[in-house]
Amino acid sequence: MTTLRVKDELLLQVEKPARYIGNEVNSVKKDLSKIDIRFAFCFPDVYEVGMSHLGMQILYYYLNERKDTYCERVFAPWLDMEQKMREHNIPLFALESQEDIKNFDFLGFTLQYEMCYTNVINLIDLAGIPIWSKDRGEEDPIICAGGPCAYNPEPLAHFIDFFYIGEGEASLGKVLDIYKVHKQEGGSRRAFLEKLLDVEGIYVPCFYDVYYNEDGTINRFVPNHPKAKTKIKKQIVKDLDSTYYPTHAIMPWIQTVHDRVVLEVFRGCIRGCRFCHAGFVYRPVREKSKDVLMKQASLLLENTGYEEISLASLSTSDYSQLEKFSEELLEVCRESKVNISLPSLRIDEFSLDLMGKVQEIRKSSLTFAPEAGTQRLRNVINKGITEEDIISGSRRAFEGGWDRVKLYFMIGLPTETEQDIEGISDLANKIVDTFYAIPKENRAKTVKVVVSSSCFVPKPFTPFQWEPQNTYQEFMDKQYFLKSKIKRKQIQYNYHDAIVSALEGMIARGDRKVGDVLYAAWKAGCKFDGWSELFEFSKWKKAFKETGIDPAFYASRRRAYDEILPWDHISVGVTKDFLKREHERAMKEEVTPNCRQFCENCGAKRFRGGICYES
Amino acid sequence: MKARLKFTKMGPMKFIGHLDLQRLFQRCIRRSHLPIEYSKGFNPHQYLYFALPLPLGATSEGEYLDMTLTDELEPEEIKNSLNAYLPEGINIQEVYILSDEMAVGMAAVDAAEYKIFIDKKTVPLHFMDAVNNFFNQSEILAEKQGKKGIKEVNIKEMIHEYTLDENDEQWIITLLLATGSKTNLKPETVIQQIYRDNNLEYKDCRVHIHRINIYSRKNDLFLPLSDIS
Repeated sequence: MTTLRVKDELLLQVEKPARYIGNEVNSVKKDLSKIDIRFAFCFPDVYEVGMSHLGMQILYYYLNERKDTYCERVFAPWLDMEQKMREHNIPLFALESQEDIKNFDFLGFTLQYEMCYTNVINLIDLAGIPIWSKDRGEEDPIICAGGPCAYNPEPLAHFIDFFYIGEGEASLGKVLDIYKVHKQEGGSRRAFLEKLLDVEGIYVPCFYDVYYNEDGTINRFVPNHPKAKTKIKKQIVKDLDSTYYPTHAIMPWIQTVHDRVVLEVFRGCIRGCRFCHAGFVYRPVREKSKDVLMKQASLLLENTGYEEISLASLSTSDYSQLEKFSEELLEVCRESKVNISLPSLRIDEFSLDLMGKVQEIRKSSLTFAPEAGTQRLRNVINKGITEEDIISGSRRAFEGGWDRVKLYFMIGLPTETEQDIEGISDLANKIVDTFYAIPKENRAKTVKVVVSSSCFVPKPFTPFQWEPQNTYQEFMDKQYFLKSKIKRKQIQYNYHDAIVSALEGMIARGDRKVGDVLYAAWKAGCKFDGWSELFEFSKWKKAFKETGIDPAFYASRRRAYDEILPWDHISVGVTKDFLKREHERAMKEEVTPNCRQFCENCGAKRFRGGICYES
Repeated sequence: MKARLKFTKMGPMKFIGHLDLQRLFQRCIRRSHLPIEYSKGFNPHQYLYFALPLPLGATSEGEYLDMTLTDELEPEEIKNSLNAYLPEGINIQEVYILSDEMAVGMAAVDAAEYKIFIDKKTVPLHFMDAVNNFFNQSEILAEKQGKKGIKEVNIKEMIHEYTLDENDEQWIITLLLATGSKTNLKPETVIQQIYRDNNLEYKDCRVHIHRINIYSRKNDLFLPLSDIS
């Protein structure tokens, strides 16, 4: 039995000690004497959140397929545990071997959300490793990062030795191959980072210098090493059918956010909603075939014993073989008493029918994401959904027995007016009216419409990357205004913390100087900033004051098309020209057709795969 | 058919709570393809009954789980197929076939036996006397968490047996306590009261509780659940 790194007595004094013991069913155990590379896969949030993340489960097994590598998991310890670890000088350790990660070869962070960046810094510190990459010595691990937020690596550029741009399964293996030879032959960490300059998709920040104009914008971004590429190209897998996908999942000890089999149906999205980061950076769409999906589903269910399977993609209704696939999957699941969960469906006749089949008892809640309250604004953001779609979808759902509708909106979208915000409450009212227009005997007794609004955060590589974000005062005024418009008791209004969204906006489009704010905020005690009960704005304010950095410069400033953006050296396939075109169209309230209807030449064709070549 | 499984919960498995343990078993049973019976209806669940939840932090060599199977299986077959999928520390020791009329789970439980390990360094030298005096009272009053808050009750009748042993490092108190759906005395309640009566600071992380077995009462005899089948 593995000896635990933390003594029982301490573990019994913290909440949910099972977070820290490892040894779960399906976790990987390896003989350390046969391992060349030790990799700590770090998820900068708690166990329950990290264990629900599909990317981590994929890369964990992908890396452990290699005989020469042992990939172990690291999550952020909760506050009580961190306190015990610091009191008793216990550095951050990996779950599998329970050994300190400061002795590993690599720490790899996955960046899912900007508000976990202070946790990234905290974890490096907790491991006993110098926080700034320039301070790390030959004995320290190489620290790398990837994931969706790594497409703008600049805010963390001073802390991370190299970034991996793109999908890990595509070529993370090359990095490990190079490292293995490098380790055998011996050589400095700088020499290793230099070798990485030959690898596509790898960004090593220390080989680039940034020069600024007096107004704070970027003047030049230049390589300081002859081999450093001017553009770092996103790496993707082209054929999902033949790409590695795990047949196991680590069974968490405690209830996690998504405690079920997750089956990835396809990557990318054909829709092109102009606010959506994922919709642009994950292009082009690449589907798995139905037979491969069925095979993966059965293997995963067999090897986990889960009683539920969830279909993951950005928009599952767009899967071209959904009808045939769902039929077959339903058959298998009925037989083995497995529930199917279907997030991200568009609400049409087929989807409602399918949802009816998969959850025959509790037809509780139905979710729509109109995102904006008026058709005008929905055209601006290219959300291809009409009021008619929403109303008729709700009517059919109510007739089918549902009695709850959840509606997701964003406030602060570009060109938004008071009418657009009022449109949100109008739409909610119309849905309530639709319910009461149905004869009593054909519907439930009462209805509840839940309206949620989040605050719009402009993201890099979207057509709105040049747009100013609302200030948190503006967000709060709008939330208050909408609240005052919602009067019926059937409608419930929930809204997001505007201050957190404003900070997220600053970091999302930040440059290297934002790294200083992150460091100062961490010094002031910030961590778990995405957890509203722990978020303390006063500490961030202190960090702004100390560093002299104005968050408004990053969040609420309009950028000119010709300004050098901090992420211009990264290429996600989609071109800046296309984004400009989309931005101009947005301002003209023009809709762009989806990738299956018409190819707009966004640039993703360069990958020579997926939907770009099907049509 | 109905089967009763006796299993252990040792080592780091003590950090897994009762609900999480249930989920763990449900999934291991699915993986092992044991022909377990499911409830009818839209949301089928396995027929699975745990005798008595173990507190977080305690270990055990005598846990019980009853299940209903749709096919006739040999006890050894049930044991082996489940052990192949259970994590280290949780191990099916023995499987007993129950007669169809047998009540399952909590219904049969009347008492549980515990060993409490106390580090000698954390208590004063006169601890032995204190423990003996505590149990020799004609009436043993303890603060017990009831449905309506904490109240003081006489637990004397609920302590069927106690012994005190020692090794070089530890005091070991063995307790046979009334437990089950009617009356229920937790070992923590007893130990906490000993500490309280002697003005000692009680820290549950320093006192290790280990369950030995769970019993059913038949004609004034306490029989392990394994003997009732």
